[in-house]
Amino acid sequence: MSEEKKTASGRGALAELKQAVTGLFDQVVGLAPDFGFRREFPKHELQVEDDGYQAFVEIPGLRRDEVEVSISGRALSITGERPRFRPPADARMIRSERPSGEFTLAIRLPAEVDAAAVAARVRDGVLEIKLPKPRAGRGRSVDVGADEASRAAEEPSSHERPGPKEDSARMPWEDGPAES
Amino acid sequence: MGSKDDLSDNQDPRESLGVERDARVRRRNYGRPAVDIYSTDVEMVVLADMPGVQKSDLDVTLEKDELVIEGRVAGREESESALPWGYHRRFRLRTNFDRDRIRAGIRGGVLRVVLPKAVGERSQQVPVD
Repeated sequence: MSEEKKTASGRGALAELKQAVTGLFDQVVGLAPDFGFRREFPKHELQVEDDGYQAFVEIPGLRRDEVEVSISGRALSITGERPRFRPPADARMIRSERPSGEFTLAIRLPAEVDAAAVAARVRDGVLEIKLPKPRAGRGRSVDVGADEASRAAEEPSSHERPGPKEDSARMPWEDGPAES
Repeated sequence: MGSKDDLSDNQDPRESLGVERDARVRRRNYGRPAVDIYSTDVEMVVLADMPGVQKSDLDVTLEKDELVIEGRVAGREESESALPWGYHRRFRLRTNFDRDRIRAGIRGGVLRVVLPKAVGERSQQVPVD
């Protein structure tokens, strides 16, 4: 339930450097003093649920295909870029507060999840990522050493629709309802 | 920015006067949305980040010289979310707008309010010799 603010080391540091450079322009025009927006944006939260976790990341104006979500072990990573707002040529800006630029979010999950069952969608500018616990960790316990046949027998027959399930970085994402 | 601005933030402390008790309770954990605002010859446009707000939970009102934007994020209060439960912000307008033609819409959590300027407010091109 706590709001994770951790930044991954290594790759994260590189991303930060890249962001610092690309963010220079914003800084010059006073949009992001002290790069503050990188900590503020995007706001996010990890909620603990009975059957796993759910992450909420606020990305107003971005579509599902404009953010990348990946999971490796307990590390959930969300990257994307919010384009800088461009007013019409004849416009005079009165306020420029909305954050823009690249962002990288690294959330350390409290426990491992079923990577193949992770699903994400964007709804009203909020990225929602469902992170189910591995099946064995849910509800009733499963005998250690149960063979595949008996485990399969326990599964409800009408399971989630089958789809291409890749095992690592890329997830079979669900897209949210189209926004008109 | 200065007196020439078409609007200013309205942080009048009397803001909750006249507001029903229920409405005030509902505003707990509301945030102040970040905005981009620009002005052209013919209109002023307000863009506000209000992620999670659906059209049905959005309120945009213009009363006298005050523009109020408010939106609730469904489900946040119920889940005791640490993210904003909604957004609220008020602006004082310094320009006359064509009230009948003001329009607002929200898409992907970004509110857009278009305020067409009243004819008399449009700046005139002055020929320079």
